[in-house]
Amino acid sequence: LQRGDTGLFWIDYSNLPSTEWASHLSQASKSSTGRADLPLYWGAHETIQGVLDFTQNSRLRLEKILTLAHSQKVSVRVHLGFNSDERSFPAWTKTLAPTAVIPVANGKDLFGEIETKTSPSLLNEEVKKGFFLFLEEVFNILNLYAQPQGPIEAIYFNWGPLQQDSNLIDSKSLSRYLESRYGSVSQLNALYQTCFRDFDSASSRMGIRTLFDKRPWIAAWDFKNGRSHFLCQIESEINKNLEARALASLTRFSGEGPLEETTVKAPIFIEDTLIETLGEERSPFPLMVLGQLTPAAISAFRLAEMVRLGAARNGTKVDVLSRWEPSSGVGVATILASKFVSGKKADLLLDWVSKGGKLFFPFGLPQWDEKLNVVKWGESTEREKKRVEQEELLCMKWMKGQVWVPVKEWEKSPQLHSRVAKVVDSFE
Amino acid sequence: VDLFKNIFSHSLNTECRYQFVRATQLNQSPFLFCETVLGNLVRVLELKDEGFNLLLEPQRAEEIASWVKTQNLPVICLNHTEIPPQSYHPSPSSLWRVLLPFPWNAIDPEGTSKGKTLEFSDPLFEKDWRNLKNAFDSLEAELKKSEISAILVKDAPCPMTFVFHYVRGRLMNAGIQAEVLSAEALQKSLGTSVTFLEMNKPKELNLLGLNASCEILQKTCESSRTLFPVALSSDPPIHFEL
Repeated sequence: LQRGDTGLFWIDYSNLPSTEWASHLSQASKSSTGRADLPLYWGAHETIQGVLDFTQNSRLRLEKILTLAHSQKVSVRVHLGFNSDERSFPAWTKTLAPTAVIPVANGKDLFGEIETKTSPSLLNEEVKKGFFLFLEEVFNILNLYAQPQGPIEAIYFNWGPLQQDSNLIDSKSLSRYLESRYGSVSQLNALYQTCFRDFDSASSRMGIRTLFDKRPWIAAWDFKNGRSHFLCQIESEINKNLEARALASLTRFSGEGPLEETTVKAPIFIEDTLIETLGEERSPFPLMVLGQLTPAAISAFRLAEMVRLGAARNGTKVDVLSRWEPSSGVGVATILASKFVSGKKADLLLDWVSKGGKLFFPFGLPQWDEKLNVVKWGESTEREKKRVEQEELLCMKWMKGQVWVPVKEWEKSPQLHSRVAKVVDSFE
Repeated sequence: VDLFKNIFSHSLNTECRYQFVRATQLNQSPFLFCETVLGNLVRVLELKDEGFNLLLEPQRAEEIASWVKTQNLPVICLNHTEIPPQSYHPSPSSLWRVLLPFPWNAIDPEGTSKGKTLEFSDPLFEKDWRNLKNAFDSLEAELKKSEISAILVKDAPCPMTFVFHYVRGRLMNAGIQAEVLSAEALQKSLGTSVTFLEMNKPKELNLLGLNASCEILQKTCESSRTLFPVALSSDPPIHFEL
């Protein structure tokens, strides 16, 4: 049982004697939300391949705990999917290839060893089939206990560490994804300056390496999107199953719902296409593709670590740009980016500036998006040179807001935070 | 149960583990720590008195790689030669792993596996690390003697007690109390056997670097005493019927 700061009231029922469930639910009913969060572990319910247990072992009687929750008027949020818990996957899946290769998070430490580990992968047909059979059985049960007849108010589905799997892309699905994005292979070749004959050759191991050698940022963007695309395909298969039982409206997949009820309020954001961010601490990890590291990913990782260390020493908050949202509520944001930024993010940032936000880019303005289109940071701007102590800056006014850049791009050094602080203070 | 929870309510965060590093004077053995992944130099840390510096600036990896070689400090390099390692075992919860912060806890001369190597620039420095690991193992052997063990660090600017919970020799929980706990108080409150150690800086410590740390750990082991539970006077006597 855990009671986190996030408003989640976990009852890990399969790890508790069933005789204790009632008292935990009673505590949940007295909490401010009157709600309990139940994690459903596939590995707990299927210790023997093909044998799903929801009734035999007293700790696994899902219907019993749902009935108890309903009788105690406790709303239940069910959590499905994967996390770092060993029970996420059944033991029988752990020897099946191909496997996922996932970075290991360091917990709350600022730094930790760069570790990876293998995990079962949904690219293995047997694993995927087993998981779908488990879900089918789970959905059959949950269907009987959805509100108002039962206590279930929502089902959260989290891909967890599988979202950072360096292997989670088979050449067929990557090929399909690239085709949907580029239309023709000549478009892809034009962007990457390559000469692939077809999408299949671009999606082979060698092809992926070539893409990363040619345009690392765009290749990382494509890889991450291809990976999400693959997970979305599985999500849509799961959704069909949910729709058949009228559970779809209750279900939220990773990134869609309030799995973490937090708001981002950080003044410095790191563009994170070339890194993975792990755990609640969002520790950086260099993006790995098919078990390989690229120099660009290492560079991005070093920058992220340096910024994070500086932030810890200066008491500054740092987050990643992919988590930045216009509603983040800060009037000034510093963005650490290379020459690239995703088109969608650039649009959001520009819109935010037009409403009065102030952006500062110490390493210069990102110039291109993932299609190599030039990012227009406010065309009809009023430009003005300013000086803040030793820093020479260029201020571009755009509607109600401003975009600031140094006249000469800053070096990536540990003094970054103090320099940023001086400049940002002058805005206010 | 509540008392037990209270004792472990403050988990060992990074700052607590740095306090242990300071108490054992490990921070007085400066060195450079490099980490490579598949031959790529990913980070260089300079460990010194109060914490560390990240030396690898993003655009200067190659320069720093050659710069490291010219330094007077001993260098320890952790190389990840396979991604992922062929046989990954989740980090065992050994005292070394739990009590020391990164990168000290990653420098386990005995703990490398296939896919991971440790290189020491100086064989004597490597020998010192092995001695340190042995001293740590001895300390853990003392702590394992009871279900609840504690190390009292009195000499620190703020005295503190590290507490450990072992079940069948396996470390289950570690915590810190920002106060001076006594063996008797712990034993009386928990009603279980308690192993209690005191870490004091020896008065005449004519040793430097890791040797000093080994000596501190050894003296700590020597201070070990175990208190066994005693039946309370109000307990009814146990009768055996034959």
